[in-house]
Amino acid sequence: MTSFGRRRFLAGVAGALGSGLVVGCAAPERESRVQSFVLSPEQSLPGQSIWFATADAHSQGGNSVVIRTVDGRAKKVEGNPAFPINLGKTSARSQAGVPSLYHPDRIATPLKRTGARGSGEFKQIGWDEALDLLVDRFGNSSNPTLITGRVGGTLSRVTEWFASLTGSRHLVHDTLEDSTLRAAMHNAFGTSELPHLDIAHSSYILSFGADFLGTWLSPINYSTQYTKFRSNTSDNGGHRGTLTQIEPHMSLTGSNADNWVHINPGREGEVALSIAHTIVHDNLIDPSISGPVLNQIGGKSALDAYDPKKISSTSGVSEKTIKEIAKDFASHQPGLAIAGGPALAHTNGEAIGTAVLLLNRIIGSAGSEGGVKPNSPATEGTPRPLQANTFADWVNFATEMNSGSDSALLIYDADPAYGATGAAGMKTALESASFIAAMGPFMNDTYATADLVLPATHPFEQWGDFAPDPANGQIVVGLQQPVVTSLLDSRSFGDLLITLGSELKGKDAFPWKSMHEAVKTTALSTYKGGAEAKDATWVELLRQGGMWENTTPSSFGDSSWQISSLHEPSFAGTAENYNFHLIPFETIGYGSGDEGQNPFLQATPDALTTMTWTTWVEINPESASKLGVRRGDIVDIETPSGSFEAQVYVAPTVAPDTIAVPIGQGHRFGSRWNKGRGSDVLAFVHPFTDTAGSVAWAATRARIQATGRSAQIPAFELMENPRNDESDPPVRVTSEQH
Amino acid sequence: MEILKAFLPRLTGRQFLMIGIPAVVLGGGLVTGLAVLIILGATGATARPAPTQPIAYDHSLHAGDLEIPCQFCHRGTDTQASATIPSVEQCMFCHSVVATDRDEIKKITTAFESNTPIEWMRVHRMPDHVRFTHEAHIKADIECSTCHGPVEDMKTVKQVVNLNMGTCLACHRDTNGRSIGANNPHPISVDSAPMDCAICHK
Repeated sequence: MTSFGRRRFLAGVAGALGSGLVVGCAAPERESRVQSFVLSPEQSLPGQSIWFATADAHSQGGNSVVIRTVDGRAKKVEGNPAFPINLGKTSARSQAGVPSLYHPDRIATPLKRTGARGSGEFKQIGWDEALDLLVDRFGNSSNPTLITGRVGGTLSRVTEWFASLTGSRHLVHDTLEDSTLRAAMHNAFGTSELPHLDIAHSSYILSFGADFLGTWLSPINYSTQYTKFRSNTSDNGGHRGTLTQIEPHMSLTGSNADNWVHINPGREGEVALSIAHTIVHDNLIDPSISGPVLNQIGGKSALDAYDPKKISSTSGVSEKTIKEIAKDFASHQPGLAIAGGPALAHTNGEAIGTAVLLLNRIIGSAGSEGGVKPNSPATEGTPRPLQANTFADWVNFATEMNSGSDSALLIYDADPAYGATGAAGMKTALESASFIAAMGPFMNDTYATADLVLPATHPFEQWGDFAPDPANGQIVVGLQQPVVTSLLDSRSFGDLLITLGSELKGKDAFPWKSMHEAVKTTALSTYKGGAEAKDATWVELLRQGGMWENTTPSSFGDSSWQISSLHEPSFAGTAENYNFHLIPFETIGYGSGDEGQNPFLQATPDALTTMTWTTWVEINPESASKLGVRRGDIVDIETPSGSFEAQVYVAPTVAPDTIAVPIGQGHRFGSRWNKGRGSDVLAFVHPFTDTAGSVAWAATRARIQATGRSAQIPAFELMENPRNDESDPPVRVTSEQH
Repeated sequence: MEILKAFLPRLTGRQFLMIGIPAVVLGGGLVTGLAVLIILGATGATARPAPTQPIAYDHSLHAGDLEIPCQFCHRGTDTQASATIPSVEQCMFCHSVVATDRDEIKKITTAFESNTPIEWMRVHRMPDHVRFTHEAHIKADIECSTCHGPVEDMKTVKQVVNLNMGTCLACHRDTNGRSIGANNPHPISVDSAPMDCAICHK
């Protein structure tokens, strides 16, 4: 046996290390694996970005985006720079489109209920069985009802066609529907259309609760206009515009305002008429301008009851402030006055909205550049999103269902079991339906009660078109095309209705064979050229994301309202027993709750508090001190309708007698990220309605009790301050100030 | 030497072993490894054997006997940077009717019907710091075999050209001064194969 000396040992080790170095330099095997597509994506150029223009179905108002795709997968959302509404801009909700598209909890296949109704227990089935079930249970029902979200464009025509074909009733659900604003528009301007706000050319904005930079109507469009409003360009007369925001809880728009004025909830109409009183009695505007409209609404003397001296005590806005606002508003022309959000969510919301909108007529800016203008018309083929049914309609429907109506429901993109409609009877009404089929990309409280759940395509996977509401003064149609092929066994709602309608009423029941055909036919309905040029035109329309053209501006009608119609607001709960006004509000992330399943939007910080992932309550420092609660404490908020928990965020964004709680959490069913998270504040507001039939969601009082528990607060601004030691707030709102 | 001694402390035998052994082992390993890499690079040999593919696809049958052009399956090489792995659907263009009873073809059929991607093993791979574009080379009429070897003769494809910087530069130098792209409707002019570092190392 040869001896194994030290030198040979060292040489051997060195050799082994050398070989190891060579092997170690090679790429690991996993990096050499490449997967082939089973089906090659259309128009794919491997490794290259391809951009498609399509609808931004997640943001508000109707915007268009271009989506970067690589190898058949959507990667990034950008604004469509050609589209006249958003002009290349996007919102957090737009950006959440990709995480929503590839969300792991999307409904992947049709599901059939196996457990008790509402248990959320289902088994997977195929589309053939699902369609058989739909035909048998919904198609043969004597009382079929369609419940959808605010569908618009060609999809709304397909839906209405299906409803008339099958004799179905059609109800439209929207958690925060806008009937009050439309009623106010009708009273003030003779039209139920939403207003077109010419913010870019305005010199002064007087906003009562309308968070137009955050969550109200068309915030992306308003934000792009706002940059012009704030610049010293010729658009707004060469000087920076002034924004005055009057509201009980500071919104994102309020935080941008030159003047933020706190007001007692429900008193916005009084202050608006008080401003009108000052303008008229101090002759701040030529009487020949304000006179005609005053005559229509009750005459100059009808404003006498709204002398600023009388109004300051009830509204919490001082006489001096009211007079200053009136003077500024009248002297900075053109100006516009708007009302939205909590200002309209009162028992006198319709009157509040009307009183505010009439200020535009009193100063003479209604319908003119820089003021509130009429909405431009939509095309016949692509109507605007359908107006939602009012809260009162839902209460009636729930009563009918609960009294034993044998109704079969087909639900799409709606969650009436959640929020105020759920608490007002829809939750129990759904349990008594004879059959429920529900279609959507995600599970929600309503779908959990369904007998059959159908997977819907994501907006990036389907054909469609839309008319922005409100538009920008032009006739605008946006187009929606699939930018990726669905990885799931999903179908679009329009295609489902066409398939189902054809099964029930014959293959010629619909004039179109698919949504693709319906959208293309609609878009090219006015086209007169040859087939080849027609195809080229269609491709060009898809490339630019839609079509738009200027139109002759229409004019407003007369006012049909009397000042005497403004009545006192009612509140649920007395001030003695419930010492806080409860103001629910919408956040820029998950909004009214429809987008809560998306972790990107759960983690999008609230604009003012930077809170994420939870339900919090904003409490004035003075009130927090009296209650003995600190930031992070869990409190019990009790209203006359019940109680829920929220985490304290001490902030000067509310007055001492007001608390504010975000809408959108508290889902019993949903994705892994919103199921069982936080509280559904809308389920605890009193089911008051205003005269337009909407729920008065800001007309409830509440009281607070500490639970003794506390938790780390998920605020983005506090990431570097884990101890949560409270520093002095930069602004303090106290009861002495108003 | 005197200076060296002045800086080095006097070492005991034990200290010498504690410092000397690791120094010899690491130094020797590094030298041996580098030598192996240099020898492999100089001879043009590749370090990796032909990888085992999930399906025994025979290039010598398809590209050789049947003379199917490379770009029939590897589409887009003349328009983009990446070569493409054919989709399963593309295999099925022919194999939905051709040789459907063979075991290897059944694997493709199963993958297609179950919507499952096939995990191929990559044969050629440029390092991450190199930007190689197929389009420019194919448009200049460079044969696929220049880099990929005689694939039409290979039952199992193996890397035969060591695609290191030397290989690239040698070809770019040779190309300069010669007319290339004679069959191209837009021939590349002479002296056009760039030698700038930033062409590949962007």
